[in-house]
Amino acid sequence: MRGRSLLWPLAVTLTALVAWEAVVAALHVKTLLLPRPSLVAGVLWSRAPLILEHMWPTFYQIVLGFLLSLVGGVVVAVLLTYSEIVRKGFYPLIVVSQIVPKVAVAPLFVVWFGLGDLSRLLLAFLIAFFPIVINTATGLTSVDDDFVRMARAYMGTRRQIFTKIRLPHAMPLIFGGMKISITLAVIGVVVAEFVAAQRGIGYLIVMANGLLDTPLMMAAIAALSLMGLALYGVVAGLERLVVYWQVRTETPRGGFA
Amino acid sequence: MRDSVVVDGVGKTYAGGVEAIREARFRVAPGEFLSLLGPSGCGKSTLLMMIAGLLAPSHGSIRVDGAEVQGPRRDVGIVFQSPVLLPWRTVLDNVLLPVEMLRLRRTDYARRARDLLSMAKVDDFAAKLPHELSGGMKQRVAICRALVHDPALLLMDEPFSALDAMTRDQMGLELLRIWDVHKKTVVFVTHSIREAVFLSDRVLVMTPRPATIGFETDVKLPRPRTMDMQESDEFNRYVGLLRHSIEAGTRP
Amino acid sequence: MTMTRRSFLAGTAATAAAVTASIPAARAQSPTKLKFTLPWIPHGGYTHVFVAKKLGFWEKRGLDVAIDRGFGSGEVCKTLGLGQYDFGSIDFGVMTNCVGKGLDLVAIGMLSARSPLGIFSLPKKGIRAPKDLEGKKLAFATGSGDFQLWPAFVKATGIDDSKVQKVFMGPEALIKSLIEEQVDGEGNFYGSIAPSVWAQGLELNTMLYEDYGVKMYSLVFAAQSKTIKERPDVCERFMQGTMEGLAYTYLHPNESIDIHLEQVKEFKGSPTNRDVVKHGQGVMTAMGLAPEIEKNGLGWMDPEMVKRTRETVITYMGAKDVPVAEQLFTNAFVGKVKLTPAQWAGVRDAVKRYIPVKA
Repeated sequence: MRGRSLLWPLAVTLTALVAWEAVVAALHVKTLLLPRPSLVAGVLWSRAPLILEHMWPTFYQIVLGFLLSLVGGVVVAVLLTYSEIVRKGFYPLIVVSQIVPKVAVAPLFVVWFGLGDLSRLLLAFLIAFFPIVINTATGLTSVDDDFVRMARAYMGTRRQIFTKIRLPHAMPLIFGGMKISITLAVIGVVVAEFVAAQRGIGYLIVMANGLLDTPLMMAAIAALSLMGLALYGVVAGLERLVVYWQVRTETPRGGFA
Repeated sequence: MRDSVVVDGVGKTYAGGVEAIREARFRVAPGEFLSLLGPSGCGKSTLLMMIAGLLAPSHGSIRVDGAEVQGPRRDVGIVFQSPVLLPWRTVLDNVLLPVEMLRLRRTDYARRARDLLSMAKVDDFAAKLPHELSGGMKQRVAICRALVHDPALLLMDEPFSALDAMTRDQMGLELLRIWDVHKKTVVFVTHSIREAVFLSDRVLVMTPRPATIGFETDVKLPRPRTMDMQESDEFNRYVGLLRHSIEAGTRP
Repeated sequence: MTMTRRSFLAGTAATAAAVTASIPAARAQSPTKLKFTLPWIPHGGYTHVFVAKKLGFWEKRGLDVAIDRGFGSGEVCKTLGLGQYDFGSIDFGVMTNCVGKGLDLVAIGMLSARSPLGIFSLPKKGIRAPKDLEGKKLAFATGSGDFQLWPAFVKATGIDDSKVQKVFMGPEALIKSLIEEQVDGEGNFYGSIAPSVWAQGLELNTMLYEDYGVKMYSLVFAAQSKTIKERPDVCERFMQGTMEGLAYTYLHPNESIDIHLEQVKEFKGSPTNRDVVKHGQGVMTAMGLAPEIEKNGLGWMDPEMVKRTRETVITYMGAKDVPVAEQLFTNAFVGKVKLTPAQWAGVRDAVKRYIPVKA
């Protein structure tokens, strides 16, 4: 985001925070129910070491889970594109795996895979790899026939067509999938931490809730949101670097495109 | 001297039973500029694809430079109706694509690529991405690409039909200029009679489906061709001849 | 399975005595790593394990114990029963039910002799006796012991169950929904709910199941029978250290609170947390006061009460294939840490306010 376009979301957020502070103060809302943002900010600062300590394992799991989804997702997409057996046999199973609510599956994972990092990682992978599979597969198969014909005319092998044409063509879609996927990886890890963890931001949120410490809970949520935003920003930034050829259409001032 | 292309009794029937081409038989001499002329849908593109080795004939054979066509070949360059440039590659990298596909050394051909681009007057855009070029410029790049690996045969499938009339005329002249330097054999598919007459040494007229070669004529206009030749009586006589044969669907 | 359990449990008492002699030798080797789980979040009722860890009661016996939080007795029964932990604290009723389902668990020491299960409400709702529950809205977490034994409570008190409206939620939402008066009352564990509510400056009406005839054991220490059979010396050392921690907590409540706050970092920094830990510890101590404990030493379990708990579980939780009471517990590792009558009087006095009074 360019400097100027950063001003608007900042202004809106600040206005919302001020309104929140005013309403809570005026209506004497209990801290247990909804603390003032200034109090939450204070906790975010004063208990930063605790929050950071719990952020690290979550961050590590998210990034690892995301990378696994990326690699796994692309591999599965390539298999789906090039193997009819895989497509017919596995695609329906993959779709079903997405419909099952992950909160329901999490305790099962714990029983099967133990309370260590593996269950959380698998849960994050399960949620996050689907957008990558779909987008990559779409990107690989939606190449215009003209391109493939042109490459074949110049004696391109299947492998050359894949690396020089299908894969670059799929990049914009793969990155679209990655942006969704990183968000889902955050959700997946945190949800898993609610149910089966001894550390992490999700664990801290649950603990704070159990101790009726709403300011700490909200500070942890705020920290988590910032982390999620930063991770998304990294992927979006990477997209601009890698997918340099996309022409972005400018919308006319003051209206919808 | 051996013919560049020999098309011998070639026919094509599609899977659904549609007979696109019944029988095509002709030869192309080395260095000759031949046009395949006919209305849309008469199978001339199909014929070109078979010469390129991208489609197999249902019966008959095609030989290029003495060897039977069994698939795409190294010594052929092809230009399609739309430029089909890879949007993520620079103009120069697009031109060098055939070199990569054929596993030739890029360094050996980089100079040639640049020379082609400068001859096509798009060398200023060598480092730019395709979306920064106009339609006509993109098609020029496509022509450079078709020539970068020094093929003996150049196949062109209605390369200018997507362009506006003025650009089209310009491109025709450019093509002739480039062809004049490199003297390739060209098989040019078009549905424009004027274009066929202007560019070619010889024009074959294809009949509608199931197609055959219905008519054939040499074009004995002097080279290099110029724009004002299109006003001349002789030019228009050829045009009239070809139009009449297309309308009749048979020999006049 | 049945034969093996009976035979080795019978043998454990003999082995324990033999094993006690081998403890000095264990110290010389590198410490044995153990994994222990609490039933829920590490609130004030579990100070004793943090004391045991910090003051080295386990370390001096050659043990290195990692303490994890749990996600409810039901979940802990699974993870402990499947061997993901060496030891754990769970509700005895829930444990018995899980043994019936095939999980391998045995109680090896008592924590809370009095059952903390009950119905809790804010005084303003006017719920003082069971009859007051008719026409009210109660919240429960379905997996919890208090909900599973609600039918026993209903039978013992003779109230009309159909007149009591019930809503269900996850255990983490219970306390908040009570304070926010989204419900009139709820089922919970005294040691979990009371400290949090009191720390908010509110009073709590308490109706414990056992005051109305549903008497049963609740929080115990447990392990797989496999562990007991294969590593009785480890069980012995672990329980000694834990009971020593428990005794310390009874006798030095304030120091124990300090240790707890220091060990559980998530507590530090919130103003109410010291109170929460203090109350929680007080409640757990109060619930640990029972004649058989005072007589036989910390952790000792009364076979009659075990039998009674087992029967209640079978009747009201629908448990099947539950082994006989003798196979559900063993006193082989407890009863060695004792307080003097004077010490017990002092403890009782200190936690007087936490002993719930039947209305």
